[in-house]
Amino acid sequence: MDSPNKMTRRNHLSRHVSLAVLWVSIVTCGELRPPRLLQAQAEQPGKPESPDSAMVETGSKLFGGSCSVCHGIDGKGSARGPDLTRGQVVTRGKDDELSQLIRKGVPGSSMGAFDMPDLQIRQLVAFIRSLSTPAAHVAVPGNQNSGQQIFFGKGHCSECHMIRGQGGSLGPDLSNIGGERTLAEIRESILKPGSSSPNKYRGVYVVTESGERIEGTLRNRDNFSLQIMDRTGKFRFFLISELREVVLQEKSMMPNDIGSLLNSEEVQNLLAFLSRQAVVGGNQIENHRRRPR
Amino acid sequence: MKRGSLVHHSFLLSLFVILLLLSAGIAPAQISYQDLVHPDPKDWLTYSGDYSGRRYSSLSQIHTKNVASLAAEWIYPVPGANRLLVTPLVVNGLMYVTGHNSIFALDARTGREIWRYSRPLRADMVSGDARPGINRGVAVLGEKVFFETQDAHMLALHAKNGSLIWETEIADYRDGYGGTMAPLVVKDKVIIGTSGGDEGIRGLLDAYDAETGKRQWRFWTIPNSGEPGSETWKGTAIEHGCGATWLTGTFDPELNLLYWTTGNPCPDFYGEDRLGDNLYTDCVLALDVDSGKLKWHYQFTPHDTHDWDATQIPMLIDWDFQGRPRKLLAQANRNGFFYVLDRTNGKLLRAKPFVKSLNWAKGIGPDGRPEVLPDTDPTPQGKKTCPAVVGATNWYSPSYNPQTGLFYVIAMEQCNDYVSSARGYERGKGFEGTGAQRIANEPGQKFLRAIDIRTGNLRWEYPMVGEADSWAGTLSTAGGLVFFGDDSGYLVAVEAETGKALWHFNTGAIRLSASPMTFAINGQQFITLAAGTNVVTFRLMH
Repeated sequence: MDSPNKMTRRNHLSRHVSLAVLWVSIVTCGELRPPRLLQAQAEQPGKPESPDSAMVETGSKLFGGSCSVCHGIDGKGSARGPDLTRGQVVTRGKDDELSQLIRKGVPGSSMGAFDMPDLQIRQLVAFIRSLSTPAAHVAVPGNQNSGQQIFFGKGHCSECHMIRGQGGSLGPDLSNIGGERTLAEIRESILKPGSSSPNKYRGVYVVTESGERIEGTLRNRDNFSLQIMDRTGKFRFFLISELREVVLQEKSMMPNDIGSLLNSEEVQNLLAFLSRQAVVGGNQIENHRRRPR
Repeated sequence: MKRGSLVHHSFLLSLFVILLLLSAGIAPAQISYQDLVHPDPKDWLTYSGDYSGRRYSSLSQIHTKNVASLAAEWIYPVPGANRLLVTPLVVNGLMYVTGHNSIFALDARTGREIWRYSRPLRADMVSGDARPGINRGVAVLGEKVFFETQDAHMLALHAKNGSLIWETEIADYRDGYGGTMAPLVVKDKVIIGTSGGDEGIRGLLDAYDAETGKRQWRFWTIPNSGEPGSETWKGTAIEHGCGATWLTGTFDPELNLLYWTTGNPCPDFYGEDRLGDNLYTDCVLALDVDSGKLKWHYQFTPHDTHDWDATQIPMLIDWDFQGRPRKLLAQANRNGFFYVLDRTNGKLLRAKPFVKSLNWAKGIGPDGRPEVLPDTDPTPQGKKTCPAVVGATNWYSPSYNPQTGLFYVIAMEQCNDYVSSARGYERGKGFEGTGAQRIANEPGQKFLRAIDIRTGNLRWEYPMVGEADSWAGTLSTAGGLVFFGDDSGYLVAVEAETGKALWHFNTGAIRLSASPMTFAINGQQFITLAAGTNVVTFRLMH
């Protein structure tokens, strides 16, 4: 599908993008004041019961039999049922609420009642919980202070990511990352960043009718419009019809060489720091992508 | 005083005139079978617009040159809905919309509600697509409106006020049967199938007397043991073999044949308990409409293990094929092939892939059977196969324009990991034998594709931006346009010849799940789409 011409453009783009990141870091470093009280902000929210590993394992088998047809083997959903690693009841509700939901079903949805023995329901709940237990609720070894230094320094994370108003805005805000992602998800997104949503955080450049060239990251798009944050951090919204050219990078702008930039101890410290970033109370806005069903 | 009484008189007079006009204008017209055979293009009288399933309108007031000034005229938020699949019908200015186990009759020009009828959802329906109460629409005949409930009852309501005239249970919902489809009226019959095709039902198609609700015939899509077709089931699954009939069919009045498609066999993903072709699952059936007797059948996916229901519109097209005029049946199937059959006898004339993501079969052989590639069955560990379980396309409507000879279909390029496990039948529960899941970093993509009926080849395509998660269909019109719901919540109009986008409107729906339709009132053409939870209607603004 891609013309060779376009591929060249894409390579050009990645070069520009890395320059862009550097450039942003220069501009914003004056504002980089590593915040002091971050750990204190990350006290443990109302903690769900920690899942017992034998319960989780049996629950996983039950899940494979009854639930996976709609919710996927990994619980991440399918065309028939929602992602169970997300959502209010699954991630924040009490175990009892989740049990009732399984036992009675969800009115007005395809989720019917599963009348199973109590023990099996508890095992299922334990497994479902384990899919989504946020990093903030599990013990994470490592030095949070060092992790914070890495986030705002050597790791260059804050050039694109913000925590509580500090840092850049080209990438997703991480103020609640420990509250909404599992430890495994955070680790994977640092070490093996994949393509995220096809419509978000990909590198992009456009050329306007007047010949102006604008680079940045994608915030949303459809067949007729494009929403970009340019490399100066400004929102730039376009109609496709106003543009001469639109070129998208294949992947998100998240660099894929962090594993070589940081040693394993530094990665662990960074994880320890990020896992404690959880917004407690107040407006917990689900800023992850939820597929409505 | 005098002036007052004059005003009073003229007021009464005009009220009388208005009432007279209203009674002439809004009173539901008596729709006859002949009206259904030759529908007035100002109306939209059946799910697909006419018996052919082409979803083509000869209305041309809205055309390529003026579609840019199409604008929203009214929005009706459907009470209680969380996802609309309906194609509204319009009968002489009255629109029928179905929401969640409910029907709403509206003034089609303004969206003002005239009456509503609703049934409580059965909460004890254990699983299945019908459980949330989704519904695709009604059928009409005389002064009656026909509706299938969530729990598989057939209702006849009075078109003037929604009064319940008769009610018949099609099958027991506790066995997994449900209702999601629009019925089809032919002659004096209401033809209806059921959902439940993942719940271990025995598939059936019924004809009811429109006047009384009495059943006239039933066709079982799964034979009894010993009956013809039962030899294609080795194992226990035939007892609960599915083959659901959950999408409205088409009808050829000249041949007196009803064309109805059937769904997957059960358990969906585990084939060891049902070795053989599993007739009549994943078929198109040609039935004599008077007797319900099977004239011929064609099976698209013998021994399906990927949940590839053949429940896509079996479209009837009259066109020259290899030099002579033929009665064709065209279908873009969930399994990724675009089929053209001779609808007089069910012989395959041509089958070509309409998606690139297709790795289960090399092609369709001259005998009409797929040349299945090895190692494409689901496994306990998961097997990557294409198309995905949601299909290369699905129930949402394709359309056809006789002026361009193009068949417009919304296609999905996507693969899944298919996982299987043995599964015993439990009454009223899912009988899938596990399922399919998305593959990380392979989100897939939706396209509107135009297939040339003369060659079966792609003429043009319109790639969509989005999450590859929408379920909207298409409409083609004599204005040289194709309307469709895109993957970002837009209703879009493209040029039928080229696919060039000419107009779009952001409906705000996160996941469109219905197909557009068109009608006219007092010479003004309208376009309607059930978008998310709203019915949105458009007209030209000059």
